[in-house]
Amino acid sequence: MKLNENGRQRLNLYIFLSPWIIGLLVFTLYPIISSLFYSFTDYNIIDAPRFIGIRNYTDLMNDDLFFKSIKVTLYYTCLSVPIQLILSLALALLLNQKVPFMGFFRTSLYLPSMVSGVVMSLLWLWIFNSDFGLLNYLLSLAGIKGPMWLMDESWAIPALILMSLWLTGSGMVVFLAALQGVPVSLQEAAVLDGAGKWQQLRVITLPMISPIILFQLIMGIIDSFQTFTQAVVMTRNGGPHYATYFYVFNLYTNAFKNYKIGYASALGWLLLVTVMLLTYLIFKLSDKYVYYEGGQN
Amino acid sequence: MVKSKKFLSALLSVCMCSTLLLSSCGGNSPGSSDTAQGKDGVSGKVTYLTLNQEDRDYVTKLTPDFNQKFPDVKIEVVTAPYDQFDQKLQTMIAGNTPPDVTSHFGQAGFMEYYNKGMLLDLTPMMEADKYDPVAVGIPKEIADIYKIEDKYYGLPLNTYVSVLAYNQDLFDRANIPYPTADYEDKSWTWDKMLEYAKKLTVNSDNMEAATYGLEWFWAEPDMRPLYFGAKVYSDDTWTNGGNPSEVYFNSPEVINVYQKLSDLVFKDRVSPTDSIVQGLGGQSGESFTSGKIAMKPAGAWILSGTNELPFKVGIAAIPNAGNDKIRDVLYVDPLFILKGSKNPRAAYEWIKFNLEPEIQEKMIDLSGGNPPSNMKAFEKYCSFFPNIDPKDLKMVYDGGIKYGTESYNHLVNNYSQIWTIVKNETDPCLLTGKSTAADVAPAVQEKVTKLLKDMNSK
Repeated sequence: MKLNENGRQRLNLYIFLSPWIIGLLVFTLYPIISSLFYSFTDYNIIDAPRFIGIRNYTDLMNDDLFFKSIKVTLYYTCLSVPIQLILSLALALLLNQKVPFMGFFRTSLYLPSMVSGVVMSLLWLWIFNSDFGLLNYLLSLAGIKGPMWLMDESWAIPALILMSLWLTGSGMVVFLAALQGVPVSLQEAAVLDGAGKWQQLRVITLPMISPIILFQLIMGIIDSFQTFTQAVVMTRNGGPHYATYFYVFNLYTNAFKNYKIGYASALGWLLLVTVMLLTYLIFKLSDKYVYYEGGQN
Repeated sequence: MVKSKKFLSALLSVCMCSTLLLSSCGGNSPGSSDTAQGKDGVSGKVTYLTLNQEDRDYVTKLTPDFNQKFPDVKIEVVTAPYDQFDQKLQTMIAGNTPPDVTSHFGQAGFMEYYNKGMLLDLTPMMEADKYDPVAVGIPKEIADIYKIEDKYYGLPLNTYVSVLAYNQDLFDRANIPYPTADYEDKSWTWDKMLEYAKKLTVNSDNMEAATYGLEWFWAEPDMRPLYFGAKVYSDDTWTNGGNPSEVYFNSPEVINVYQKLSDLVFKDRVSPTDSIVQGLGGQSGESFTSGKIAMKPAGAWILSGTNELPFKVGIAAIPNAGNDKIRDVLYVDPLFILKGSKNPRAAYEWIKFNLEPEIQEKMIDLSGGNPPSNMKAFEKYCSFFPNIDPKDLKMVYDGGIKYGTESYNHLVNNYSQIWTIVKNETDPCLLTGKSTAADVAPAVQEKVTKLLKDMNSK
């Protein structure tokens, strides 16, 4: 059958899109749907899945580790996300100035974000070592005896939050791009009207970049809900005393150490639904605070 | 700048979907074990899953020898890092391409595999072949570790006993006699070792000057009480497939042991904290190589690399601490055939080949000192470490096997879940010293009991 020009164009479109579509169907959609099915089964990989209805979900309610992992993850999220957000915005505001060597400063601050999670975790493991670590050595110079950091259940999460600040560079770059998109004319008009630096920031800059702040907030929450590497590499299986027993670490342990794929799938779906609800809630609440230049639609 | 709310919503929804990918794992259970045998009965491909470490992937150098005997069998060696071994095995099974032969090289143990029905009974093939592992040279107590109800589910490749490694230079400096390698020497007790450890310890804020008499993080946390004669699992565990009907973490004997071990670090201060151990271990991860630890009990893998250390190393018997029957932890790695194997006959021949005395001797060289299970190769093993007295090594091995018991992580079912509770609940006592053993014991008891009850009810 001979195709007309429109048909040929449409065919070419699908040919070019096909790698992505096939990838999405096979490597994303199929596992997602499979995991939904497995979440209603008792499945240990060796034996065929056995349908058990919602028992995996009801079992979660009697699982101490499930609640512990939620507590740890929320603790980490509630502290790390706002701190990272404020710090990366502050850095972006500083690096948005016209001063010499700005390229150097921007690159230096972004550089740590390019280090892989495992490498970063191993590096910070040494920094946090209470007897040989750099951090406690620096504190000792000021006459302070540093805590045991990752070995102390009270300090383990604060230590991980401290480490996460190393990654503010990636958030900073996004904010920097947003700040450069703020129309200069608005700033100039504000200056003519007698607005100071603080007022310019409050009434012009922040509203103009508010969609980006919202985006960074939601991405930060999703990221921190998925914290995993630190629990494996740094605190050796979620310790001490469950202090770093993150939600996704619990999911991973159930799937790959306890051979409970069905249970782990239920944990995965619960996380997805929670994150979706949370995102929806934040979106709803953000209506009053976020300004979209192109309108709500 | 993002100008549309819809665009932002779409971007976020794509990101959220990635959450699920961790838990998803496609595939079915392994298929039928159709064979791929040639006319001789031994041909086809055998997949061997092992670790991607020098002391494990040496097997690729043994395949030419195997192919001289079985030219029609192709050995395919698949490797995985230690911390990803279990996932690799699971995904191979889920993908319907299970390895034919492997061992518990990851964190899951033999009993986990056995209880999930993953292992092939080797007995019919052994009987047809009149193969007796004891006659081949494997001690009966080692060969029987993975024998359940008179059926062999694994044949031992390597037998690691635990040894007490000691730094002879530190002993010489403190003018203390070397500890004995003889398990029958009644004077070598826990108290004697502690007395030595106190003399050998130099507590100092200056890490250059500090030394530690003893590092005792030996064996899994739930296994440590056994050495002192206190049991944590009911006796039926060892006869019913590794499922304890009761646990005794709250018994006075077990509490006493955990307190004793905590005191080594936080009261007597003869043993370094976990953080110091990490620091001393450096990149190799082995703190003993720092030269600052006088005595350390560990699996015999601690001997690997002792030839290059800048100080003299000796090995001694694990001292008597009140349990006259068990003083040593064994780590025996068996080779087993998975039920989904498409070529079990050739897989069985591969296992037998690995246990031959000459091959076990080759393995010692190629792996850098893996201990054999076949005692006919043991002389070679004893002479492999020039810095260690072969007579001591022989005595420690003989005593270790006589007084040893297999590590619990290989024998207890659903071990990962029990371990998570025991490890985390005892952390405040054993890791940080912030709580006493009596404080943490009730929670360990209650939570492990609840876990076992839940598991048994399913």
